[in-house]
Amino acid sequence: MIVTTEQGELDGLRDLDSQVIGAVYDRYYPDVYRYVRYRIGDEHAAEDIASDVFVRLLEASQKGRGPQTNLKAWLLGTASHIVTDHHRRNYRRPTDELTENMLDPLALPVDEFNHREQSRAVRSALKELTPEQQHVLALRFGEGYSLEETAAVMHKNVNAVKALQFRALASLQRGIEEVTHE
Amino acid sequence: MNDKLFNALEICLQALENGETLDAALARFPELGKELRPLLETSHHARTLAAPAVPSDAQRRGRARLLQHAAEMREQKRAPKRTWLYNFRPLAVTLTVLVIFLASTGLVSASSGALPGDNLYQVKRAWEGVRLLTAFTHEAREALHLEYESERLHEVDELLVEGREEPVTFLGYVVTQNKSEWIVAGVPVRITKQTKVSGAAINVGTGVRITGQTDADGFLVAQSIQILPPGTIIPPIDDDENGENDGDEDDIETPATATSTPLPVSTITPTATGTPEPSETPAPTETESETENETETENENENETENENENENENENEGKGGEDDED
Repeated sequence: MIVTTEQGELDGLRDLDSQVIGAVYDRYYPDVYRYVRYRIGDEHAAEDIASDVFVRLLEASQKGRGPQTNLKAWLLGTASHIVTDHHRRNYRRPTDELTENMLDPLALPVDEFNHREQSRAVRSALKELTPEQQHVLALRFGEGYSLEETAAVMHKNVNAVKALQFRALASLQRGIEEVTHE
Repeated sequence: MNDKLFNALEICLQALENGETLDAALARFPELGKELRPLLETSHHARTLAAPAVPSDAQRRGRARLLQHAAEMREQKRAPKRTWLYNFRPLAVTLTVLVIFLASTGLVSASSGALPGDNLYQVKRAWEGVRLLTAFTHEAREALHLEYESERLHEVDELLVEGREEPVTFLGYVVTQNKSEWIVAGVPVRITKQTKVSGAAINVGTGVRITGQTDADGFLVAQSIQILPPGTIIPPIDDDENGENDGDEDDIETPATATSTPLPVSTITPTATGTPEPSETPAPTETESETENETETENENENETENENENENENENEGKGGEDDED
Protein backbone atom coordinates (compact mmCIF):
# COMPACT_ATOMS: atom_id res chain seq x y z
CA MET A 1 0.00 0.00 0.00
CA ILE A 2 2.81 2.35 0.96
CA VAL A 3 4.71 1.43 -2.17
CA THR A 4 1.63 2.16 -4.26
CA THR A 5 1.29 5.61 -2.69
CA GLU A 6 4.94 6.41 -3.22
CA GLN A 7 4.79 5.14 -6.78
CA GLY A 8 1.87 7.49 -7.36
CA GLU A 9 3.96 10.34 -6.00
CA LEU A 10 6.86 9.47 -8.25
CA ASP A 11 4.54 9.31 -11.27
CA GLY A 12 3.01 12.64 -10.31
CA LEU A 13 6.44 14.22 -10.04
CA ARG A 14 7.35 12.99 -13.50
CA ASP A 15 4.11 14.46 -14.82
CA LEU A 16 4.75 17.74 -12.99
CA ASP A 17 1.40 17.37 -11.28
CA SER A 18 1.03 20.43 -9.03
CA GLN A 19 -1.05 18.63 -6.45
CA VAL A 20 1.42 15.80 -6.11
CA ILE A 21 4.36 18.20 -6.00
CA GLY A 22 2.67 20.22 -3.27
CA ALA A 23 1.82 17.11 -1.28
CA VAL A 24 5.35 15.73 -1.54
CA TYR A 25 6.77 19.04 -0.47
CA ASP A 26 4.45 19.38 2.51
CA ARG A 27 5.20 15.86 3.61
CA TYR A 28 8.98 15.93 3.36
CA TYR A 29 9.97 19.55 3.79
CA PRO A 30 10.17 19.43 7.62
CA ASP A 31 12.53 16.45 7.50
CA VAL A 32 14.69 18.03 4.84
CA TYR A 33 14.80 21.40 6.58
CA ARG A 34 15.69 19.87 9.97
CA TYR A 35 18.40 17.81 8.37
CA VAL A 36 19.97 20.76 6.59
CA ARG A 37 19.61 23.05 9.59
CA TYR A 38 21.35 20.48 11.75
CA ARG A 39 24.37 20.48 9.52
CA ILE A 40 24.37 24.20 8.73
CA GLY A 41 24.30 26.91 11.35
CA ASP A 42 23.00 29.60 9.01
CA GLU A 43 19.22 29.65 9.03
CA HIS A 44 18.87 31.42 5.67
CA ALA A 45 21.33 29.15 3.93
CA ALA A 46 19.46 26.17 5.36
CA GLU A 47 16.20 27.52 3.95
CA ASP A 48 17.71 27.96 0.49
CA ILE A 49 19.30 24.55 0.46
CA ALA A 50 16.15 22.80 1.66
CA SER A 51 14.25 24.52 -1.14
CA ASP A 52 16.91 23.56 -3.68
CA VAL A 53 16.55 19.91 -2.75
CA PHE A 54 12.95 19.86 -4.01
CA VAL A 55 13.79 21.76 -7.18
CA ARG A 56 16.44 19.15 -7.90
CA LEU A 57 13.89 16.45 -7.27
CA LEU A 58 11.69 17.86 -10.03
CA GLU A 59 14.54 18.24 -12.45
CA ALA A 60 15.91 14.78 -11.76
CA SER A 61 12.45 13.25 -12.18
CA GLN A 62 12.13 14.90 -15.59
CA LYS A 63 15.48 13.55 -16.67
CA GLY A 64 14.70 10.06 -15.43
CA ARG A 65 17.32 10.26 -12.72
CA GLY A 66 14.93 10.75 -9.82
CA PRO A 67 14.17 8.33 -7.01
CA GLN A 68 12.88 4.91 -7.98
CA THR A 69 11.54 3.80 -4.62
CA ASN A 70 12.57 5.57 -1.40
CA LEU A 71 11.70 9.22 -1.89
CA LYS A 72 12.75 10.33 1.57
CA ALA A 73 16.15 8.66 1.26
CA TRP A 74 16.66 10.37 -2.08
CA LEU A 75 15.76 13.78 -0.66
CA LEU A 76 17.99 13.47 2.39
CA GLY A 77 20.83 12.02 0.35
CA THR A 78 20.57 14.96 -2.05
CA ALA A 79 20.43 17.35 0.90
CA SER A 80 23.62 15.75 2.23
CA HIS A 81 25.40 16.32 -1.09
CA ILE A 82 24.32 19.94 -1.31
CA VAL A 83 25.36 20.62 2.30
CA THR A 84 28.75 19.03 1.73
CA ASP A 85 29.20 21.19 -1.32
CA HIS A 86 28.14 24.22 0.69
CA HIS A 87 30.75 23.46 3.36
CA ARG A 88 33.39 22.96 0.71
CA ARG A 89 32.70 26.35 -0.80
CA ASN A 90 32.46 28.05 2.59
CA TYR A 91 35.71 26.48 3.66
CA ARG A 92 37.39 29.02 1.43
CA ARG A 93 35.46 31.83 3.13
CA PRO A 94 35.56 31.03 6.85
CA THR A 95 34.69 34.61 7.78
CA ASP A 96 31.01 33.93 7.05
CA GLU A 97 30.73 31.43 9.83
CA LEU A 98 32.81 33.51 12.20
CA THR A 99 30.50 36.45 11.78
CA GLU A 100 27.53 34.42 12.80
CA ASN A 101 29.19 32.90 15.80
CA MET A 102 31.05 35.87 17.14
CA LEU A 103 29.60 36.64 20.53
CA ASP A 104 29.97 39.51 22.89
CA PRO A 105 30.50 37.92 26.37
CA LEU A 106 29.23 41.00 28.15
CA ALA A 107 25.95 41.10 26.28
CA LEU A 108 24.70 37.67 27.38
CA PRO A 109 23.99 35.90 30.69
CA VAL A 110 26.69 33.43 31.67
CA ASP A 111 24.56 30.35 31.09
CA GLU A 112 23.46 31.53 27.70
CA PHE A 113 27.00 32.40 26.74
CA ASN A 114 28.27 28.99 27.81
CA HIS A 115 25.47 27.28 25.95
CA ARG A 116 26.29 29.14 22.77
CA GLU A 117 29.98 28.49 23.13
CA GLN A 118 29.23 24.82 23.56
CA SER A 119 27.05 24.80 20.46
CA ARG A 120 29.74 26.58 18.49
CA ALA A 121 32.30 23.99 19.55
CA VAL A 122 30.01 21.12 18.63
CA ARG A 123 29.19 22.61 15.25
CA SER A 124 32.84 23.31 14.50
CA ALA A 125 33.72 19.76 15.42
CA LEU A 126 30.81 18.39 13.39
CA LYS A 127 32.06 20.12 10.26
CA GLU A 128 35.36 18.33 10.58
CA LEU A 129 33.77 14.89 10.38
CA THR A 130 33.47 12.95 7.18
CA PRO A 131 30.25 13.60 5.22
CA GLU A 132 29.04 10.11 6.09
CA GLN A 133 29.64 10.65 9.80
CA GLN A 134 27.84 13.99 9.64
CA HIS A 135 25.05 12.28 7.75
CA VAL A 136 24.48 9.61 10.36
CA LEU A 137 24.57 12.08 13.26
CA ALA A 138 22.14 14.40 11.50
CA LEU A 139 19.73 11.52 10.94
CA ARG A 140 20.02 10.09 14.43
CA PHE A 141 20.22 13.28 16.50
CA GLY A 142 18.90 15.96 14.19
CA GLU A 143 15.97 14.04 12.79
CA GLY A 144 15.55 11.68 15.72
CA TYR A 145 15.31 8.68 13.40
CA SER A 146 15.57 5.20 14.83
CA LEU A 147 18.46 2.95 13.93
CA GLU A 148 16.28 1.15 11.38
CA GLU A 149 15.02 4.35 9.74
CA THR A 150 18.56 5.67 9.55
CA ALA A 151 19.72 2.43 7.98
CA ALA A 152 16.95 2.64 5.38
CA VAL A 153 17.80 6.22 4.45
CA MET A 154 21.50 5.45 4.22
CA HIS A 155 20.93 2.23 2.31
CA LYS A 156 22.99 0.35 4.90
CA ASN A 157 22.30 -2.47 7.25
CA VAL A 158 21.67 -1.81 10.92
CA ASN A 159 25.02 -3.13 12.15
CA ALA A 160 26.87 -0.87 9.73
CA VAL A 161 24.96 2.12 11.06
CA LYS A 162 25.75 1.11 14.64
CA ALA A 163 29.44 1.06 13.85
CA LEU A 164 29.25 4.29 11.89
CA GLN A 165 27.49 6.19 14.67
CA PHE A 166 29.99 4.88 17.21
CA ARG A 167 32.89 6.24 15.19
CA ALA A 168 31.06 9.44 14.43
CA LEU A 169 30.44 10.13 18.11
CA ALA A 170 34.02 9.28 18.96
CA SER A 171 35.30 11.67 16.28
CA LEU A 172 32.92 14.36 17.41
CA GLN A 173 34.06 13.98 20.98
CA ARG A 174 37.69 14.44 19.98
CA GLY A 175 36.78 17.39 17.83
CA ILE A 176 34.91 19.12 20.63
CA GLU A 177 37.88 18.63 22.95
CA GLU A 178 40.21 20.11 20.36
CA VAL A 179 37.98 23.12 19.76
CA THR A 180 37.49 23.65 23.48
CA HIS A 181 41.20 23.55 24.20
CA GLU A 182 42.14 25.95 21.41
CA MET B 1 34.30 -6.82 21.27
CA ASN B 2 33.54 -4.01 18.87
CA ASP B 3 30.09 -5.33 18.09
CA LYS B 4 29.35 -5.54 21.79
CA LEU B 5 30.50 -1.94 22.21
CA PHE B 6 28.42 -0.78 19.23
CA ASN B 7 25.34 -2.58 20.53
CA ALA B 8 25.87 -1.26 24.08
CA LEU B 9 26.10 2.28 22.72
CA GLU B 10 22.88 1.89 20.79
CA ILE B 11 21.05 0.48 23.81
CA CYS B 12 22.27 3.36 25.99
CA LEU B 13 21.29 5.92 23.36
CA GLN B 14 17.77 4.53 23.25
CA ALA B 15 17.64 4.60 27.04
CA LEU B 16 18.65 8.28 27.08
CA GLU B 17 16.09 9.00 24.41
CA ASN B 18 13.46 7.40 26.59
CA GLY B 19 14.31 9.76 29.41
CA GLU B 20 16.75 7.71 31.48
CA THR B 21 19.70 9.38 33.13
CA LEU B 22 23.23 8.83 31.90
CA ASP B 23 24.19 6.84 34.97
CA ALA B 24 21.09 4.68 34.72
CA ALA B 25 21.87 3.88 31.13
CA LEU B 26 25.51 3.11 31.86
CA ALA B 27 24.54 0.86 34.74
CA ARG B 28 23.56 -1.74 32.14
CA PHE B 29 27.16 -2.05 30.97
CA PRO B 30 29.43 -1.34 33.95
CA GLU B 31 32.41 -2.95 32.21
CA LEU B 32 32.03 -0.54 29.24
CA GLY B 33 31.32 2.61 31.24
CA LYS B 34 34.72 4.12 30.57
CA GLU B 35 34.30 3.91 26.80
CA LEU B 36 30.60 4.71 26.67
CA ARG B 37 30.31 7.67 29.01
CA PRO B 38 32.17 10.23 26.84
CA LEU B 39 30.27 9.03 23.79
CA LEU B 40 26.92 9.37 25.50
CA GLU B 41 27.88 12.82 26.75
CA THR B 42 28.83 13.74 23.20
CA SER B 43 25.50 12.42 21.94
CA HIS B 44 23.84 14.83 24.35
CA HIS B 45 25.77 17.69 22.78
CA ALA B 46 24.94 16.38 19.34
CA ARG B 47 21.23 16.55 20.13
CA THR B 48 21.50 20.23 21.04
CA LEU B 49 22.13 21.13 17.42
CA ALA B 50 18.71 19.88 16.35
CA ALA B 51 16.50 22.63 14.93
CA PRO B 52 13.81 23.59 17.42
CA ALA B 53 11.06 23.99 14.84
CA VAL B 54 10.56 24.38 11.12
CA PRO B 55 9.79 28.05 10.35
CA SER B 56 6.43 28.14 8.60
CA ASP B 57 7.26 31.20 6.50
CA ALA B 58 10.37 29.49 5.16
CA GLN B 59 8.26 26.46 4.25
CA ARG B 60 5.70 28.67 2.52
CA ARG B 61 8.34 30.50 0.50
CA GLY B 62 9.96 27.25 -0.54
CA ARG B 63 6.61 25.83 -1.61
CA ALA B 64 5.81 28.86 -3.77
CA ARG B 65 9.23 28.71 -5.36
CA LEU B 66 8.89 25.02 -6.10
CA LEU B 67 5.44 25.33 -7.67
CA GLN B 68 6.63 28.28 -9.75
CA HIS B 69 9.53 26.21 -10.96
CA ALA B 70 7.19 23.34 -11.80
CA ALA B 71 4.96 25.71 -13.79
CA GLU B 72 7.95 26.92 -15.80
CA MET B 73 9.00 23.35 -16.50
CA ARG B 74 5.49 22.54 -17.69
CA GLU B 75 5.60 25.52 -20.03
CA GLN B 76 8.91 24.37 -21.44
CA LYS B 77 7.51 20.92 -21.90
CA ARG B 78 4.48 22.23 -23.78
CA ALA B 79 6.51 24.57 -25.98
CA PRO B 80 6.74 23.33 -29.56
CA LYS B 81 9.89 21.53 -30.41
CA ARG B 82 12.54 23.58 -32.06
CA THR B 83 12.74 23.22 -35.79
CA TRP B 84 15.89 23.52 -37.84
CA LEU B 85 14.77 27.05 -38.57
CA TYR B 86 15.17 27.85 -34.88
CA ASN B 87 18.90 27.31 -35.24
CA PHE B 88 19.06 30.11 -37.77
CA ARG B 89 17.39 32.56 -35.44
CA PRO B 90 20.67 34.27 -34.47
CA LEU B 91 21.46 34.68 -38.16
CA ALA B 92 18.06 36.23 -38.80
CA VAL B 93 18.54 38.61 -35.90
CA THR B 94 21.98 39.59 -37.15
CA LEU B 95 20.62 40.12 -40.62
CA THR B 96 17.79 42.28 -39.35
CA VAL B 97 20.19 44.39 -37.29
CA LEU B 98 22.42 44.74 -40.34
CA VAL B 99 19.49 45.82 -42.48
CA ILE B 100 18.42 48.41 -39.92
CA PHE B 101 21.99 49.66 -39.61
CA LEU B 102 22.50 49.97 -43.34
CA ALA B 103 19.14 51.59 -43.84
CA SER B 104 19.93 54.13 -41.15
CA THR B 105 23.14 55.24 -42.81
CA GLY B 106 23.15 57.60 -45.76
CA LEU B 107 25.04 55.13 -47.89
CA VAL B 108 22.00 53.31 -49.18
CA SER B 109 20.03 56.40 -50.03
CA ALA B 110 23.11 57.94 -51.66
CA SER B 111 23.45 54.88 -53.87
CA SER B 112 19.83 54.87 -55.00
CA GLY B 113 20.56 56.99 -58.08
CA ALA B 114 23.78 55.20 -59.00
CA LEU B 115 24.20 53.87 -62.52
CA PRO B 116 26.32 50.99 -63.79
CA GLY B 117 29.94 52.06 -63.60
CA ASP B 118 29.38 54.40 -60.65
CA ASN B 119 31.25 53.75 -57.41
CA LEU B 120 28.08 53.26 -55.40
CA TYR B 121 26.39 51.01 -57.92
CA GLN B 122 27.54 47.85 -56.15
CA VAL B 123 26.10 49.21 -52.90
CA LYS B 124 22.81 49.76 -54.67
CA ARG B 125 22.76 46.20 -56.01
CA ALA B 126 23.84 44.73 -52.68
CA TRP B 127 21.07 46.58 -50.91
CA GLU B 128 18.59 45.18 -53.41
CA GLY B 129 19.85 41.73 -52.51
CA VAL B 130 19.40 42.43 -48.82
CA ARG B 131 15.86 43.62 -49.37
CA LEU B 132 15.09 40.46 -51.32
CA LEU B 133 16.44 38.34 -48.46
CA THR B 134 14.17 40.05 -46.01
CA ALA B 135 11.07 39.73 -48.20
CA PHE B 136 9.38 36.70 -46.74
CA THR B 137 6.30 36.39 -48.93
CA HIS B 138 6.09 35.40 -52.56
CA GLU B 139 4.14 38.56 -53.39
CA ALA B 140 6.71 40.77 -51.73
CA ARG B 141 9.56 39.12 -53.64
CA GLU B 142 7.70 39.44 -56.95
CA ALA B 143 7.03 43.11 -56.30
CA LEU B 144 10.71 43.67 -55.58
CA HIS B 145 11.78 41.81 -58.72
CA LEU B 146 9.47 43.97 -60.78
CA GLU B 147 10.79 47.09 -59.10
CA TYR B 148 14.39 46.08 -59.74
CA GLU B 149 13.82 45.24 -63.41
CA SER B 150 12.11 48.58 -63.92
CA GLU B 151 15.12 50.18 -62.28
CA ARG B 152 17.45 48.40 -64.73
CA LEU B 153 15.47 49.90 -67.61
CA HIS B 154 15.66 53.30 -66.01
CA GLU B 155 19.41 52.92 -65.63
CA VAL B 156 19.79 52.05 -69.31
CA ASP B 157 17.78 55.11 -70.28
CA GLU B 158 19.92 57.31 -68.08
CA LEU B 159 23.12 55.90 -69.55
CA LEU B 160 21.84 56.48 -73.07
CA VAL B 161 20.87 60.04 -72.27
CA GLU B 162 24.30 60.68 -70.78
CA GLY B 163 25.97 58.94 -73.69
CA ARG B 164 27.99 56.71 -71.41
CA GLU B 165 29.45 53.38 -72.41
CA GLU B 166 28.66 50.84 -69.73
CA PRO B 167 27.79 47.14 -69.68
CA VAL B 168 24.15 46.51 -68.88
CA THR B 169 21.55 43.79 -68.76
CA PHE B 170 17.80 44.29 -68.78
CA LEU B 171 14.54 42.52 -69.55
CA GLY B 172 11.81 43.70 -71.87
CA TYR B 173 9.42 42.96 -74.70
CA VAL B 174 10.52 43.30 -78.28
CA VAL B 175 8.59 46.20 -79.70
CA THR B 176 10.00 46.53 -83.17
CA GLN B 177 12.44 44.58 -85.27
CA ASN B 178 14.38 45.24 -88.36
CA LYS B 179 17.66 43.83 -89.44
CA SER B 180 20.12 45.76 -87.34
CA GLU B 181 17.99 47.78 -84.97
CA TRP B 182 15.36 46.60 -82.56
CA ILE B 183 13.45 48.44 -79.97
CA VAL B 184 13.11 46.47 -76.78
CA ALA B 185 11.11 48.01 -73.95
CA GLY B 186 11.69 51.39 -75.52
CA VAL B 187 15.44 50.91 -75.67
CA PRO B 188 17.03 51.11 -79.13
CA VAL B 189 19.11 48.00 -79.48
CA ARG B 190 21.71 47.61 -82.17
CA ILE B 191 22.21 44.11 -83.51
CA THR B 192 25.67 43.33 -84.81
CA LYS B 193 27.31 40.27 -86.25
CA GLN B 194 28.73 39.53 -82.83
CA THR B 195 25.32 39.52 -81.20
CA LYS B 196 24.36 36.05 -80.04
CA VAL B 197 20.68 35.42 -80.37
CA SER B 198 19.37 32.37 -78.58
CA GLY B 199 16.18 30.77 -79.77
CA ALA B 200 15.00 30.59 -83.31
CA ALA B 201 11.92 32.74 -83.22
CA ILE B 202 12.13 36.10 -81.56
CA ASN B 203 9.25 38.18 -82.74
CA VAL B 204 7.63 41.39 -81.80
CA GLY B 205 6.09 40.85 -78.36
CA THR B 206 8.61 38.28 -77.22
CA GLY B 207 10.07 38.79 -73.76
CA VAL B 208 13.86 38.83 -73.89
CA ARG B 209 16.93 39.46 -71.82
CA ILE B 210 19.34 41.86 -73.45
CA THR B 211 22.98 41.95 -72.43
CA GLY B 212 25.18 44.54 -74.02
CA GLN B 213 26.81 47.91 -73.73
CA THR B 214 25.44 51.37 -74.08
CA ASP B 215 27.22 53.62 -76.52
CA ALA B 216 27.63 57.32 -77.08
CA ASP B 217 25.19 57.28 -80.04
CA GLY B 218 22.22 56.47 -77.84
CA PHE B 219 22.13 52.77 -78.68
CA LEU B 220 22.60 49.65 -76.70
CA VAL B 221 24.90 47.37 -78.64
CA ALA B 222 23.62 43.90 -77.91
CA GLN B 223 26.07 41.14 -77.05
CA SER B 224 23.41 38.53 -76.40
CA ILE B 225 19.66 38.25 -76.63
CA GLN B 226 17.89 35.44 -74.83
CA ILE B 227 14.24 34.47 -74.85
CA LEU B 228 12.85 34.57 -71.33
CA PRO B 229 11.07 31.55 -69.96
CA PRO B 230 7.34 31.81 -69.27
CA GLY B 231 6.50 33.40 -65.95
CA THR B 232 9.48 35.73 -65.91
CA ILE B 233 8.64 39.07 -64.38
CA ILE B 234 9.07 41.72 -67.06
CA PRO B 235 8.41 45.35 -66.31
CA PRO B 236 5.90 47.31 -68.33
CA ILE B 237 7.22 50.27 -70.28
CA ASP B 238 7.12 53.72 -68.77
CA ASP B 239 5.94 55.80 -71.71
CA ASP B 240 6.84 59.11 -70.07
CA GLU B 241 10.47 58.34 -70.40
CA ASN B 242 10.40 57.14 -73.98
CA GLY B 243 8.78 59.91 -75.89
CA GLU B 244 10.29 59.03 -79.19
CA ASN B 245 8.73 55.59 -79.15
CA ASP B 246 5.34 56.61 -77.87
CA GLY B 247 3.19 54.66 -80.24
CA ASP B 248 4.94 51.44 -79.53
CA GLU B 249 4.86 51.74 -75.79
CA ASP B 250 1.16 52.40 -75.61
CA ASP B 251 0.52 48.97 -76.96
CA ILE B 252 3.08 47.40 -74.72
CA GLU B 253 1.47 48.72 -71.55
CA THR B 254 -0.27 45.40 -71.33
CA PRO B 255 2.50 42.85 -71.33
CA ALA B 256 2.56 40.76 -74.41
CA THR B 257 1.88 37.13 -73.78
CA ALA B 258 2.13 35.84 -77.29
CA THR B 259 4.43 36.48 -80.09
CA SER B 260 1.54 37.55 -82.35
CA THR B 261 0.52 40.50 -80.25
CA PRO B 262 -0.44 43.29 -82.62
CA LEU B 263 1.99 46.10 -82.30
CA PRO B 264 2.32 49.37 -84.08
CA VAL B 265 4.59 48.75 -86.92
CA SER B 266 4.41 52.02 -88.67
CA THR B 267 8.08 52.59 -88.30
CA ILE B 268 8.97 49.48 -90.16
CA THR B 269 5.96 49.04 -92.44
CA PRO B 270 6.94 49.85 -95.94
CA THR B 271 5.25 52.99 -97.14
CA ALA B 272 2.42 52.60 -99.60
CA THR B 273 4.12 52.59 -102.89
CA GLY B 274 0.92 52.19 -104.87
CA THR B 275 -0.99 54.97 -103.22
CA PRO B 276 -1.91 57.71 -105.69
CA GLU B 277 -1.44 60.51 -103.24
CA PRO B 278 1.56 59.66 -101.18
CA SER B 279 1.41 62.73 -99.04
CA GLU B 280 -1.91 61.82 -97.44
CA THR B 281 -1.63 58.07 -96.96
CA PRO B 282 0.64 57.80 -93.92
CA ALA B 283 -1.56 59.69 -91.51
CA PRO B 284 -4.77 57.64 -91.82
CA THR B 285 -2.82 54.42 -91.88
CA GLU B 286 -1.15 55.18 -88.60
CA THR B 287 -4.34 56.46 -87.03
CA GLU B 288 -6.23 53.35 -87.93
CA SER B 289 -3.56 51.13 -86.68
CA GLU B 290 -3.62 52.89 -83.36
CA THR B 291 -7.25 52.84 -83.37
CA GLU B 292 -9.87 54.86 -81.61
CA ASN B 293 -13.14 56.03 -83.13
CA GLU B 294 -12.67 59.22 -81.30
CA THR B 295 -9.39 59.72 -83.01
CA GLU B 296 -10.89 59.00 -86.35
CA THR B 297 -13.64 61.48 -85.79
CA GLU B 298 -11.16 64.04 -84.78
CA ASN B 299 -9.17 63.41 -87.92
CA GLU B 300 -12.29 63.62 -90.06
CA ASN B 301 -13.18 66.92 -88.58
CA GLU B 302 -9.77 68.10 -89.36
CA ASN B 303 -9.50 66.59 -92.80
CA GLU B 304 -8.79 69.99 -94.20
CA THR B 305 -5.95 70.58 -91.92
CA GLU B 306 -2.70 71.60 -93.44
CA ASN B 307 0.19 69.21 -93.78
CA GLU B 308 2.19 71.34 -91.42
CA ASN B 309 -0.24 70.45 -88.61
CA GLU B 310 -0.06 66.79 -89.27
CA ASN B 311 2.63 66.09 -86.73
CA GLU B 312 0.76 67.95 -84.04
CA ASN B 313 -2.39 65.91 -84.73
CA GLU B 314 -0.46 62.75 -84.54
CA ASN B 315 0.96 63.64 -81.20
CA GLU B 316 -2.43 64.54 -79.82
CA ASN B 317 -3.99 61.36 -81.09
CA GLU B 318 -1.25 59.29 -79.68
CA GLY B 319 -1.61 60.97 -76.34
CA LYS B 320 -5.33 60.25 -76.23
CA GLY B 321 -4.75 56.75 -77.38
CA GLY B 322 -2.47 56.23 -74.41
CA GLU B 323 -5.05 57.51 -71.96
CA ASP B 324 -7.74 55.37 -73.51
CA ASP B 325 -5.54 52.37 -73.22
CA GLU B 326 -5.15 53.01 -69.59
CA ASP B 327 -8.90 53.36 -69.21
